[in-house]
Amino acid sequence: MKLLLINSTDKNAFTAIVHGSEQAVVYASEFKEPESIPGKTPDKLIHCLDKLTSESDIKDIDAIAVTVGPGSFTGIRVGLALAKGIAFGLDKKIIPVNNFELTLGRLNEIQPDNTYCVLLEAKLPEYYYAVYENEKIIKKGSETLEILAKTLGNDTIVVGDFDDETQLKHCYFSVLNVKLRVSEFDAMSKIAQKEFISDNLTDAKDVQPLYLKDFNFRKP
Amino acid sequence: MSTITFAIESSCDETSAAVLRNGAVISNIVSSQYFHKEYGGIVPELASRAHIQVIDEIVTRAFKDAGIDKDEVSLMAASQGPGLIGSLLVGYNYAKGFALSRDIPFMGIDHIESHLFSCFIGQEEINFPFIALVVSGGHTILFLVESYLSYKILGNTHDDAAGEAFDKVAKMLGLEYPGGPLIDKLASTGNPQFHKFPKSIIKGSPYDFSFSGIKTSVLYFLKNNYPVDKTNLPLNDIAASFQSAVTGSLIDKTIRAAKDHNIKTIAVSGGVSANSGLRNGFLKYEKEGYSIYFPEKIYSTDNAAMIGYNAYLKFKASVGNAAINNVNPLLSSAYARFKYQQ
Repeated sequence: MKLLLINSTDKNAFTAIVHGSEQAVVYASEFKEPESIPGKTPDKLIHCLDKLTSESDIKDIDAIAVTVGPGSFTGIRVGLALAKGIAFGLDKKIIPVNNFELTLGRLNEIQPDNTYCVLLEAKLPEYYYAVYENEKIIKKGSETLEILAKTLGNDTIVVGDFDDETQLKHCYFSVLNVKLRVSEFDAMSKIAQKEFISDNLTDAKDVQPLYLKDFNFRKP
Repeated sequence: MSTITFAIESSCDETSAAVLRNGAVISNIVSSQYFHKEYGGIVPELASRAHIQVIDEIVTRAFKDAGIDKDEVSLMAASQGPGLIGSLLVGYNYAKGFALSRDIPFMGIDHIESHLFSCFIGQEEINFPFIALVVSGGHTILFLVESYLSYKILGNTHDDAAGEAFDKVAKMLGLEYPGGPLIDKLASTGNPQFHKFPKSIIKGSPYDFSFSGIKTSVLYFLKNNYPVDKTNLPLNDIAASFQSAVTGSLIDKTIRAAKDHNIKTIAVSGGVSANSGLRNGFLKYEKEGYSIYFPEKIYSTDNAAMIGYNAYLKFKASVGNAAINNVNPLLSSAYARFKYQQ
């Protein structure tokens, strides 16, 4: 089983090859931003892929795992478009990876009895959120912290990759910051391998971004 | 050996894929996003969403129509800009992914430049130099084209593109979006002498265009003459008068550029080149010894065939050119704005 991973999230964009013990990861942050390219991480994914293919062959991969959101609209599409192009070129299928699952996967262990709420930064002050009970999503959407604080139960554990937790503490949540736990690469490669073994593969044409937030545009 | 080029275009509201053998188009699939009509114009985020939704299907169909296997592709090309950045990124990255996985050369191709060569799609050679007018909903530019790799801009629009003026005036007249083709249809039975709308003249830049004035002039004409009741507008006559003013300005300046540079070949491309008033106006000059080229109507609006054709011409012309071959085009970025220097 040899898998290509493409992760287009804003914070930890990377591409990687996972093949048993042979693992190669190239993070977007390893690139000094060329002046000509404005600071959009996802657009640099091709740099990661280019470097990756110079180290490791991708011709013989078995499938491509790619993050499908929720997250930055354009970012998701860039990662997905790359994955689709490669999938077509090599006649391979895609493993879509949901960003909530990915974040939850960065916890060392999950207690099935607990209620978790995974938060991903949307356009602040809003967050994308998904409430997990018994390891299943029972509710998801996009809300401000104020509203979430009112609607979530007191025993809910908030999970996310936070640079600054102070704002959350203010809302009396118990917070699990995954920043210093399992790396996004480890979590993603674990999910991808699990899905591959369970044969959860999707045709490229059926993989679409997970937007969650409707695009609000009032018709005239 | 023949070159099989696979091209993708996604710079605005058309998702398109094409396969070419050398300079000849074998398949060209275009999917247009009609839903923008409801909004009266293109909504960028919705356009990007639609691109990623259909791109797999469009590509698959292009190969099926061509009867070509993807193993045979030897050159990958994609529209690099200018255009809506979110839309561009979808097609551009899909193409990069494909090129990377097949290990074939990739070329980021300028959209406007592809329009100006679109008149010659299918030809292996083009006779240089020629004057090119690229006129669409986003651009109105006059070029002097000297070779496949060198051209210079003679004139540009100072404000609106000609196609934009068409769409906006159509809106004032209560027509649907996109209004350009509707104005053309109405104008065919109208009187172009009905009202004299102004043609713009820009001091010191004889080849530059401006279309915001005529737009305002139509607005005031409607306000002054039909302040309340808009049900009985003489649509045909207004459309004819407006169209004749716009096309007149385009034709006059292009012919002037051709005369000044002593060039007898003129290529008119872009969405507005499908306008019959513009076509007929230009064709009148054939009597004076000018050769006028238009793209086939299917190649006048955005399409991947022109991207592939331009890539093929450049690829052929740049073989052995170290300066071009030493950069890694895969790492290039798409661009939203027009990047040329005058």
